[in-house]
Amino acid sequence: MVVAMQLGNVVDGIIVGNILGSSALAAISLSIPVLYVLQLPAFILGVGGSAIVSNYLGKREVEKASKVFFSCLVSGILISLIFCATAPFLSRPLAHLLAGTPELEELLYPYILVNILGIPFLTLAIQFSYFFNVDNNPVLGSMMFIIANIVNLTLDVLLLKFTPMGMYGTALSTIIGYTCGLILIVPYALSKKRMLSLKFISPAECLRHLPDTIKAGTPSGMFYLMMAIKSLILNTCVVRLLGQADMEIFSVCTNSVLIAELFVGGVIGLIQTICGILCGERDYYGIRRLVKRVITLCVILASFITLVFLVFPQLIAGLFGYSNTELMDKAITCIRVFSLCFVFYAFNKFLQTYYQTILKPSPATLDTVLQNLLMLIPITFVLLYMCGIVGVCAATPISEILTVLIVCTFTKIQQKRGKLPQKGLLLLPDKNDESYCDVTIKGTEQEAVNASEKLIEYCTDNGIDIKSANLIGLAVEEIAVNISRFGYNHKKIKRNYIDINLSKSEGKLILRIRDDGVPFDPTQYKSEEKELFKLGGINLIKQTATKLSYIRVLNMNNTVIELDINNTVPNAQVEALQKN
Amino acid sequence: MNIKTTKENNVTTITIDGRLDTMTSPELTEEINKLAPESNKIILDVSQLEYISSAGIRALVTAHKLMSEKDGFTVKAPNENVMEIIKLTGLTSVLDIVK
Repeated sequence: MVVAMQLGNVVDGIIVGNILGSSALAAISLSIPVLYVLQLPAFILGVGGSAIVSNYLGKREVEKASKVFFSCLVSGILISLIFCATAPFLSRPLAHLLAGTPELEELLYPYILVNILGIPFLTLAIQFSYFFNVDNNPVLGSMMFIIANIVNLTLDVLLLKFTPMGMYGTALSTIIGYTCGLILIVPYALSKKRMLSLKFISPAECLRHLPDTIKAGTPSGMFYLMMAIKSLILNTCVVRLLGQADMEIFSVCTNSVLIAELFVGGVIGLIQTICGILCGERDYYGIRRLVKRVITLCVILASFITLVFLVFPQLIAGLFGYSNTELMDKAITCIRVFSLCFVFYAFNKFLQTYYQTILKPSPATLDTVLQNLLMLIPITFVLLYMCGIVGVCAATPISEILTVLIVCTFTKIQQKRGKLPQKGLLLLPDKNDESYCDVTIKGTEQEAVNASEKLIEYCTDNGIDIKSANLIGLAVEEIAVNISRFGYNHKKIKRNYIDINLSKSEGKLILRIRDDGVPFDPTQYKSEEKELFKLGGINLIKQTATKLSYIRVLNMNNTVIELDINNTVPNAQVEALQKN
Repeated sequence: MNIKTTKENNVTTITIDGRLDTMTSPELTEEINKLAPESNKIILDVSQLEYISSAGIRALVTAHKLMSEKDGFTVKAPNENVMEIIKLTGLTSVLDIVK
């Protein structure tokens, strides 16, 4: 989704820069504060709502999740309609305020006007994309932005090249693009994988859900607000203190960060999608494993992009339509210096997304505020006076590095003070408090039995009593054999792997089994055997487990079986069966 | 799983150890099917059996049904863990279990 959105933004900038010129690209950069404020409610409600919904789905509380979903949609529509009503009165004053020159004001006014009028469509699209993602339809979330961007970019070319619409055409193509993307609500409504539904609730109940949603979405909202304030201050300084020529160079740099976002944003998006669910399941091992992979990939990608920018800066300038030969050397230096921020930008983006997803908003908010305001603005001011536009570009990498260091230090201090009880930067329970066993098998009966043996061996090696160990082995065999027999019969299922994870935490054994077979909910399973043998494998698990839960997420069956270590089989059930 | 068989006066004793699971229970069922016609009674000694799954339970039920026309099928000396699974299935009143 993020990749699709950023790809559109990058290409949009390239088209506008090349067809209308670098002054039009600068005008779009100057309009960013307005656009961020307009999209702010959609992002707060979309990100916050989806984090809460994802957490509820992780706990299997689908009705509560649906209520949050409904309240977010309704609130988003109402707020965007209020924005819409202000368009005729606010567009001209805003354009005048933001533009430093009459030429830029004339480019800004139509762009702002059309964007304000079209904000209800964009708000809905943004919110739905987040909810598609957490509600088993990530493909629709990505598709929405792909459709929106294809329509947007096609119309961009058509309207800018073949009509005199200019900046009206640029803004109109964006709005029409997102409106077309909304057509995906139809397949979502018909999707069998969908768990959320529109639970109509009273306005009062709607309002009751909002504080938690806003709280969870605040770091993201703060991000967009900070971006708005940051853009407002930086653009105003550059355009008014350094002039339109330097503003054009600066807009190439600010647009180039979208390329980094394009690469790392999609990877970091995995944190938001998967981490919330893993957090709800208390799968801390899964979180650690995911984070390690995401960070590694982000560092590799961001380093690669930095290298490209350092080696081919002229190519980047030309890509965004920058062709001022007199100032090209200065532009090249600016692009090179600015590109040094990408790795640290990715790391800050990760910290914000991660802390927000695990519902620890304070470090996420601190990172956002430091990155976009408290670090960047003062450093930019100082370097602007010292080195001009090159100093402005150098301020970004310096503030990104300082932000990472300060947030890590803040987290450590909070932990020492006991305000953040969990250990490490990931704020998870100590590794030593838990033990893990991770097995991935192919969906065959032989491998299912092997996994059962392996887990029993793991349990006995880790001091778990043989009775509990056998019950874990039994649960693995019953579920995995069932999956291998019935889960992969469908022709469309190509991959057939089963992930099995056993963790020991807080006096409980938690067995998580994930498979990509056909949907199967063991909690709803009823044995068809009528005669004396009434209890099949799944029923045996139901009898032995302290808790058995199931959810279908990301096209995978997720079965979680909990056993109390010291009281593995509910004795009352055994006694009742003996009496019968 | 290892299977050992002894026969005395048309009473066959089968001794198994290890695991009676999805992969091993067909072997036991096959052995019992082979021995049933020439035996009046089958005793399954499970004292060395460490683990049983629903597939193993099915093998026991199959044997019970097969021998019900004759002198029967007895499960001998299950350990605590195996007994617990048998209890959970509600088969303690159906199967002949001796200590």
